[in-house]
Amino acid sequence: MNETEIRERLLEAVGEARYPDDLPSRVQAQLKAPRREPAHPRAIGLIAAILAIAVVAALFAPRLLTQRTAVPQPQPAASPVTPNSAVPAQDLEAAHLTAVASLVQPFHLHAQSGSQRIDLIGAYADAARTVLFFRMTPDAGMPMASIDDAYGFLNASSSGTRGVPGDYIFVLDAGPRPGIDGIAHLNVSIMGVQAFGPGPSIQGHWTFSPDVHVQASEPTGAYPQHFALGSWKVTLEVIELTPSVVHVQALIDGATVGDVEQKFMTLLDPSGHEVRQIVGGASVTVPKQQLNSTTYKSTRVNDQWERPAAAGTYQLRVQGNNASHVVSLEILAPGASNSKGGPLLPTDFPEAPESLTLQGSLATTITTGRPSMCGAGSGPDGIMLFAFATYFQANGNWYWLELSTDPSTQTFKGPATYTIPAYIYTVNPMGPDQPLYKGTVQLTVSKAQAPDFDGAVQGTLSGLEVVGSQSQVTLSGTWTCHFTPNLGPG
Amino acid sequence: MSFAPVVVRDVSAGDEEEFVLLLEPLLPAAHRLALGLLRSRSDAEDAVQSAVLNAWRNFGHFRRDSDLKPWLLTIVANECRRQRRNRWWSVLKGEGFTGSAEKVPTAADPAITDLRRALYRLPHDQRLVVILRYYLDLSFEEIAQTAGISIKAAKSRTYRALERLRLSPEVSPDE
Repeated sequence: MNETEIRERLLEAVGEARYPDDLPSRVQAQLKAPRREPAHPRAIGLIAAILAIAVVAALFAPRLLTQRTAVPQPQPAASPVTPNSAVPAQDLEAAHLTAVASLVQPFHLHAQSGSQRIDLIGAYADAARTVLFFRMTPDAGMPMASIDDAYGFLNASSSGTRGVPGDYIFVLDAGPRPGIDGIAHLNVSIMGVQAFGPGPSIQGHWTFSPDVHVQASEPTGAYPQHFALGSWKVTLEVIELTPSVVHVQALIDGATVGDVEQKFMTLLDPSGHEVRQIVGGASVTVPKQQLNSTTYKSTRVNDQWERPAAAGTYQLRVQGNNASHVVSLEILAPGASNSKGGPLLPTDFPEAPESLTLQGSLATTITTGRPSMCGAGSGPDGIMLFAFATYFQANGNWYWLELSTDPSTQTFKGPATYTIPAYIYTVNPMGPDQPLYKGTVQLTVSKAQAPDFDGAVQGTLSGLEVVGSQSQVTLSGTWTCHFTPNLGPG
Repeated sequence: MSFAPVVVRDVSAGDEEEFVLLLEPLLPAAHRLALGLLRSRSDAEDAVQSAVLNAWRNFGHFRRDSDLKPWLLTIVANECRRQRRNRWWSVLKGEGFTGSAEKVPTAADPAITDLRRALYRLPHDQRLVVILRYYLDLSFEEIAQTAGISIKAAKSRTYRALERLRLSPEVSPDE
């Protein structure tokens, strides 16, 4: 993009400025206006100090006095799981969150622009969806929100609905990316309010910055990831059980968006009845500017169903292109997997010295990693692969770097240099989450004498959809890892 | 947009009218900078008025053989930063472009919406150089003077900001 194009785009984004002709005269009038100086600044300062002390005393004195006799109470859990009285039951029903009402965080945040006040009264998030509850005063309609988390803009489809009069529910069909504490730091920006039905829209700017606990997903059991529907190749990219929904994301090679019918995926309970679907959508897999004769025939489908309360073997029926395929899913009752122990956190893996440098969109120097994959192994097909993957921290966030030979194209044959795919992922409480960058790197394995492995790496990774393809990260340096039974790739 | 350097040689501090006459050719640029940094027309006008008042109060510190424009733009930029730092500004205002005579940025083009959002998420220092370069069409020398940094740093900062805005420039930071 040249400088002229950048200027044009920036002008479109900022808007043309019209210089107010009367600005010089206003400036002059302001300069000539008598200056207002505080009459007795010291006295005012003293009064302010006294008032401040009084306010602080009023706020804290009751708490200090009662604390002496109060029985020590347990600290609230990091996850704000509280019975919800702030969000009306009708709002929860509209958001399909009645069954998990206790997981909806109440908020008391408000913002005002012009005469329109917007209150954020609640929020819920899991890996598949982000739900915000707004209260409008006056009731002007549905706030049009966009959401950023610590990693950037959450680009996904969204929908809105009404709750009790004045309450609106904004649903983004994507979950925010939390830090390792399970909390996502959101920036919610509302640029307009759209009347619900015929009526004018209101422009303005309201912002909120809630910290939202992202509810963890549960496993679904093993399922085949790839299958064919006639000439279409279907990849089940995501099947996850969140507390509120069953979320399935599928990639269909060979199908245009128009080819994929509304009932492409259906979830059937153990008795064969359809589970209530609450989100369904199909989209192209590249930005519209990159659509061509090849990318045009690649479609991504995102569907969500209400999380069934009963455990059992459910059937995911996928149909299209005059063919159908059924995938069995073991769905647990909500909360049933809690007793099986939590997932391994990055800090559960032992530290290892690294000397890796990331430059570009994600810049950091990794001197200490927490490898979660280390060494060579083979699968049922007997093909040897090598994998090194490590958790690392940058700018306060956890990431996961994965370097692994591709057994479909190459066999690991000991110390040598291999051209392999590399990924950098975000990390959520369940482990690696979304891939941010992908590239091809030169991985040198210098030492491969179990349990110790080391070597070097050099290459460039490009940003994926989440961070944009223009983002790039250059990876270089040396790595080490020490195999233990907890680590892959075995 | 390009401005001839305004060098002050014989203006006495103490005459408001003379001071405003001196600044008047620079006010469109000051207003454009404030609008680019703050988005809101009314906030931009407030910022320019406050900046001129500050400039008037500090005119005694101005070196008479210097270029007035970067000096004024620096004060405007500082005033805009002060406004954005004010919590109440971010909560209560921000009504955006509401004037009917202005070209109102619409949300019709998602790419432009994304760019606008990304621009206003930039740190102040990066947003400043982008606005100075591509909204006021200043040279890197003028940007360096306004931002109080070297020309090389101005180029580098601009390049980094463009990367964050995903407006990949065809030039490298050292060009």
